[in-house]
Amino acid sequence: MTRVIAGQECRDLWIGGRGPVLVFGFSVLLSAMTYLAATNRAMNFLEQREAVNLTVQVALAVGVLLTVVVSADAISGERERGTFEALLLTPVPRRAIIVGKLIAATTMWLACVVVTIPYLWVLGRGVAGVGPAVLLALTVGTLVATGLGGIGLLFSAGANSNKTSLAGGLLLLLVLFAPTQLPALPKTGVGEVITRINPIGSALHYVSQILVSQRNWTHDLSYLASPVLIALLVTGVVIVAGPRLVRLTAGLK
Amino acid sequence: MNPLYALLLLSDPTITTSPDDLTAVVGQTLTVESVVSSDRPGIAHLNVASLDGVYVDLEDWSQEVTKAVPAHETQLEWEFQAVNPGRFVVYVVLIPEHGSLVAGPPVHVTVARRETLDTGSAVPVAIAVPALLGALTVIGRVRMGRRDSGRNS
Repeated sequence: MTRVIAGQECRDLWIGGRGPVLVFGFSVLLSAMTYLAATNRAMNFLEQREAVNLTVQVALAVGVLLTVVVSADAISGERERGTFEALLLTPVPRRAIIVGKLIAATTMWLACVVVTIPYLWVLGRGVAGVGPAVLLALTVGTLVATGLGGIGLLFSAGANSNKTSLAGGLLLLLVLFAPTQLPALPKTGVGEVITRINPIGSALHYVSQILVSQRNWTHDLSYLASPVLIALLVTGVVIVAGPRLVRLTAGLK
Repeated sequence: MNPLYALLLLSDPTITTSPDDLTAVVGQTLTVESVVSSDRPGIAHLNVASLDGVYVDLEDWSQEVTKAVPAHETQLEWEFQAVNPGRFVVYVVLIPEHGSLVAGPPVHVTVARRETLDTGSAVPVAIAVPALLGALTVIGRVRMGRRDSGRNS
């Protein structure tokens, strides 16, 4: 039943929905970045690896943002558009509804990964960066997108209005993304703790250690504890508390 | 013994480096060996200088550019990556606890260019991907619009 709901949600998102428009905007951003990097004649060998890393990081940040936007709209948006009653009247378990919506939101991230591949191929050729970059985006990015997309879905279930749900999701992303822009954060004791507990910060750190510093995949594996934990925890909450969250009115009663 | 007299007896530190010349392509990892002979401990430092006026970011070239050197003869191995094309000189400098710096002989490194990022293949991708996605979006919207208008009529 979850598969049926996920399929229907995917059709709503990708056929005539917002999905293609959001991914088109995402591709324009990556095109601008790739063009600027490719026309930079002063770029040296290492900076080209950094350009691959930057592309993965931007793809991860923007792709997760789009996933959160889709998931934060999933329940509160349907409530506001008046389409949620019809969905609740169908003979489908409520757990299947919320899990199906989470799966559909995650397809936004997977679409972003597919769109990113040609850009990574252009930037990473010759510096052995294409394969690892795609694999990192797929594995690490999917963990972060599932975790934060799930949080967006919980916001959507608990918020009275779509605006509140979207604002909550965007604020969460901003709070998590801001520390990653602080210089040399993981090099201090407190900074390393902040990086490790932040799913976006730890994921970006792990990716850059492999793509730029050429570290072994297992060297900084402990940095993935936060993305893995949040993805598992949020998915667990969605599955367990799902039936109580999928309601016509917001909140747990 | 008079400390000043003992200081005069100490021989000058020397540095030998091998090989004398290296050729590489951009991205290749190279190794230079140096032997530092000194009666006093100090710090050996690897330097890279461009002969073509290219800016050299030493951090990009090598992760480890300083090594502690105990007294007597020490063999050091320096690993670095050629990140810029052009002609360069790699040399080791000994910074003793007391006295002036001692520089080793230069190792001439010629790095050949390797085209890894070309605008020729980047521009088609930068244009084709959004164009394809934009076209698919428009086609999807048009088909949806036709279907909706068909249902209404």
